[in-house]
Amino acid sequence: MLTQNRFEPGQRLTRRGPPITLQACTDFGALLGTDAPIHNDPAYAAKTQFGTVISQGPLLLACYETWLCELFGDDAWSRSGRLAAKFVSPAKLGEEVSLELIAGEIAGQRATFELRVTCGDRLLAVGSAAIDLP
Amino acid sequence: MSMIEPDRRMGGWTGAGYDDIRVGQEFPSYELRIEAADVARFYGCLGEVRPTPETGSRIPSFLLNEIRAMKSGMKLPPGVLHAQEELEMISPARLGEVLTVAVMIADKFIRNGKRFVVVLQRVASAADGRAIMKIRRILYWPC
Repeated sequence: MLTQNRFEPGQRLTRRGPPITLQACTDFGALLGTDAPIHNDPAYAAKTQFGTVISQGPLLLACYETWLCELFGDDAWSRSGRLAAKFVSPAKLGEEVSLELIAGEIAGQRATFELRVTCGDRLLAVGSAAIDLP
Repeated sequence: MSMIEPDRRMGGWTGAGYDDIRVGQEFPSYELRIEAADVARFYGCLGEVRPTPETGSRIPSFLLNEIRAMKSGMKLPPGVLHAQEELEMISPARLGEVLTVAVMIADKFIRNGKRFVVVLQRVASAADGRAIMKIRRILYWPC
């Protein structure tokens, strides 16, 4: 578990994002109500401006919760976590998504991060996260 | 009435149009029950392999970041997409407890020729009203 002494401002952490499969998008949509056909119907999606099924934006972010919990603990996340992001470009079926956390400054016990979701050179989402250090 | 052409690239115009949406509208409280199978399925979406969750274990916050509560009070037109999302955690939700979701239309605006609707959502414990999380999402509204 990370504490204040274990990361430096500017430090970059990366990990693989969620698998963008039809099953994942379908299940995610069924669970959360984000089940519009653009997220689970290949025939429908093929006729849209995206040309294929796209993942829900929150699916790209959901792994950050796991990551922050691993780094700081479930309790710190549950009681102080904050995450905000803007969706720039959708992830399409089969694409490999990467997640990045860039450590920011620490104010008191509050650690901040910039987050970036990418597929190769393409930016999918950008935002920030904050959490109280345990 | 907004003069921007509706975005029909993902289907015809059905459901609530932008002009029909009323800022300040509050939806009836929505009861949310999460089962162990839901949690397992959720982690499966993320590609994570985890043991079967037990009663009392923490429900992942992003599993509570749902839009069924909103859809229970409004039919969304084809083409609604998440533009921004903001989650603020307050306390953990536990498997086995009943939750409530309160939804409100906080704002709507047009920017760069596109319509957006701002939704505020609060998740709480049904038993004691304990606040669990707050969500602010901005949805792209096609028409």
